[in-house]
Amino acid sequence: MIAEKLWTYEEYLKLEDEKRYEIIDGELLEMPTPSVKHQEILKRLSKFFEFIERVGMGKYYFSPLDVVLSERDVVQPDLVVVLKENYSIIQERGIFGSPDIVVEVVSSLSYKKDTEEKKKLYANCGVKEYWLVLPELKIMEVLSLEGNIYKVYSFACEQGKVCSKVVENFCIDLEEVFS
Amino acid sequence: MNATEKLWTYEEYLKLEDEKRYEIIDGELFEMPAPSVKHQKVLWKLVKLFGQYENKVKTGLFLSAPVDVVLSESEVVQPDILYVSEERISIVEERAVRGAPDLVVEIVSPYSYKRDTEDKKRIYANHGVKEYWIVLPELKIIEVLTLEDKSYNVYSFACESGKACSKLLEGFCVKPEEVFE
Repeated sequence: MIAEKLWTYEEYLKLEDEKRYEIIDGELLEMPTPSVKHQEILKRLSKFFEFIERVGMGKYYFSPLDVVLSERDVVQPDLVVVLKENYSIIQERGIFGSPDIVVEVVSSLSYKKDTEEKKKLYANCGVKEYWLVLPELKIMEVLSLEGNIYKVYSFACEQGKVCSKVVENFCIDLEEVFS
Repeated sequence: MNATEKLWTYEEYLKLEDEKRYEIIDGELFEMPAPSVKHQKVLWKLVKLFGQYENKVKTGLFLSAPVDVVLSESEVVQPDILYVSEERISIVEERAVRGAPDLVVEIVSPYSYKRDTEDKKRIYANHGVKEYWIVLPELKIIEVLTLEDKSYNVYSFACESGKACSKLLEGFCVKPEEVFE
């Protein structure tokens, strides 16, 4: 594996095929097309995240959108939130820096990437809050950065709600996402 | 944790008289609901595969739940499957395994997700369980974590196809299609 190519954002921009990719630690990872279930969950979640724009705290975006964390780390999270004080990272071609909240809807194929690689990456880059949504298990988990590691701030399975630490009074009821 | 919350110990746990199953993590008592049929089907298939391996190598001890593993006075768990190597067999006592098994398998249910992927991951690493298998039937995933410097790294991983292999049990691999429907 010594000879493995390390990819950069610059090279990523030159890719000409129609596929979606992410780069984590210089490694180019192809993204499979999401399932209908995945998109249904994302649609329901985004309705809740409108709250953040409505109260004027920040903006939210959903994929596909490039989030360039470094030259060697370019990801397309399912949903990101950038708070007002960080709007400067929102540029024309993508978000250049760490969003305040990242949400990933986890599928079988993305499980390892979302729970291992991206968890490490987002923590290292200072993403304050990382939401993991697991439709197959009907689980939502809100991880909050303490120092440079994530701790579970809010968690719910099947019913109940999870709440954000970064955005006050922002909670999501699981039954409205998974039922 | 609430400051006034009671902290449970193994001694008190032994005195519990109801018919339920419990675990203690950091002194907190967790009731274990009866596992689902899906969980038990996967357990049965895994037990058979580990059993075949045991018959072949004839070393160490393999056990399946329920068996108490007393990691400390305030940490008592019941892993779905565990393995203790021949060299460490003395930790296996009559009522419980007293210390860290060499290998532990947890089949994750929705209700145990947080406990298995956060709490137990932390305590198994702290107590030196060398290999931790996390099996997720809902996602058809098998993940083999191995201890490196007090924290777990993914050693082997299989999702839907492929195979997950043990580092500790030489030549032992499990294919997702062998255990998931």
